[in-house]
Amino acid sequence: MKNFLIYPLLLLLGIFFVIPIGNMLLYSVYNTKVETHLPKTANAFKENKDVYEAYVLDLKDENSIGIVNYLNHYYSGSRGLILKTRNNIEQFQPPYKQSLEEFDERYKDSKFWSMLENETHAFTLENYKMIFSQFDSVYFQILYQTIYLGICITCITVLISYPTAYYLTTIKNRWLFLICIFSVLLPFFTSYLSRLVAWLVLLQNNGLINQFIEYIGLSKIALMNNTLGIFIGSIYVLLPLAILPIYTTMKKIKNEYYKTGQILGGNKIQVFRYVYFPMTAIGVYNAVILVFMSVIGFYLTPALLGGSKGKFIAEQIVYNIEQTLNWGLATALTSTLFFIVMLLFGVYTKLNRGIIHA
Amino acid sequence: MINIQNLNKVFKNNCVLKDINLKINAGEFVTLLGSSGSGKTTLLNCISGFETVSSGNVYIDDILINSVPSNKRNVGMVFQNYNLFPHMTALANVEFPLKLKNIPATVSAMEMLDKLGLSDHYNSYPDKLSGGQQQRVALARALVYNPKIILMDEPLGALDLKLRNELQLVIKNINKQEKITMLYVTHDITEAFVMSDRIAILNEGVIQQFDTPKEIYKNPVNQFVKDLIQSAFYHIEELQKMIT
Repeated sequence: MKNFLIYPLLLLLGIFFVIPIGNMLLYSVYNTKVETHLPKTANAFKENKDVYEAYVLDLKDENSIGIVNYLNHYYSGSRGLILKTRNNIEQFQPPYKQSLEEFDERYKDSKFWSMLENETHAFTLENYKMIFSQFDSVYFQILYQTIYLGICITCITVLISYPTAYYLTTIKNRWLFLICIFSVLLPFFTSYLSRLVAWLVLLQNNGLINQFIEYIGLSKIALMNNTLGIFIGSIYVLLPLAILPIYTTMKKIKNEYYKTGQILGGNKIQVFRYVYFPMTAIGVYNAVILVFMSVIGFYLTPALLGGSKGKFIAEQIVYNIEQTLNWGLATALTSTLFFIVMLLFGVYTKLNRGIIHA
Repeated sequence: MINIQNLNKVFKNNCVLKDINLKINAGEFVTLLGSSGSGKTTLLNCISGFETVSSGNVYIDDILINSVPSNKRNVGMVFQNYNLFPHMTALANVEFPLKLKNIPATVSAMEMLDKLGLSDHYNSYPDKLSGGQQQRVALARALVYNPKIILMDEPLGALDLKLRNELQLVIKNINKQEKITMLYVTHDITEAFVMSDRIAILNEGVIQQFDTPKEIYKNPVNQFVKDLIQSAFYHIEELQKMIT
């Protein structure tokens, strides 16, 4: 009977995790954009008919306007080319190939037509090709930067959290403990946006910190609109997420283990290294997972404190969804991030299997 | 071997050990017997170095150890809750003190586990071992680096009667064979009488009597010791009457 309780959970998992993730993966490789907006062209490619004629006929239709931003991703300048062609659509006469090529040289470029043909296939890996075809591609660079910054921010957050959590376990005074734990938990009770705006006030060029720096006779520092701003904002937001799991693990460790380590001949450093730290490692492991998973999805912090766009992949994903309406690329970026995180999670878990067992 | 002179321990104006004088010979098995709060664990902690003494001296082999940190006292200790490190296997737990001292560990640790009948469990984590097995591992860990003294803080307190009897025998055999000085803390009078060469009876931080079990039984020095002995042997005498 007890086993029945698992079914609602599985149902929830299916509805809120498996289906959306599966849908996202499907979206990244399944593309009906060209079929929808340029149906005659797509059909001509499939049935080896006159593509040029079908293309001109499609552009006469209002529906074709929806494709311009999308195609621009795969063939630079195609947005302007299609709009220009649409504006002069009445001047095209058979033979359409010659007419189009005379109208604009770019129609002679086979890459444009092969791109269009590729996009007519329902199943496509174009989005992934775009990310991974070149290591210096903008998407690959941002993906790399997101993971790199994510790892750096996670490391710093955990390094700050560990001694903080340890300090919390050593406080004997009840009031002092309540004040400290409240300080840790306070960010949870405040809106995320409010906290970031508060940081804006502090970190901006004429903010409180820079005013103080100026007051003591030093020159101002750029504390925001750069990577430092992202670091400060992210670490502040993520600290409670790291402190709490480490603290709860530390709290469970009996003082007797420390005594045992000492009586067996270990000095303070040895007892910390061989006894205390391995016993708290599961807390550190959980903190790393929580912080890393959160930071790589950050959007608001880099957008508000990071300045110029494009430091985190989330910004690119939002840009593709809202600005270019390229859901295929957005979902491909999301899926890539999803798989990279899963891979890192797997490797990290494998490396720490001893800790997890203990 | 262990010489405690005029030891006092005060916690926030509360004197928990009062003028303790105790001389324990090498290879002797001495039990600190007393009820909860009598100060027996505090006395053990003063010897192990977990607590500093308020006044008085503790000597091991005629060396004053009052200010020697616990990791340098070469004293082994077995706790009531075993305190096996949960992230280490039984073997790693036993190897641990040897590794700290840079002594080749695995062979000695395996031999010690064999000796205590745990050769099949060397690769098991503590949570997979029974209470008795865990206490054997703890004992192996305390013995493996040949400390001069082993301090035991109610080591069998968490075990059932059968296991307790079994391990009492194991501990006593080790004491006899290895000639290791053992200072054993318990509130179980029968256990103290069965195992000890000498017993120190503690009450409210004061040693009431320090003598052999036989002498304590025959000649209790005061009413407290007399009552303690009577309470322990009352049931046995009643049982004997019923049988005869």
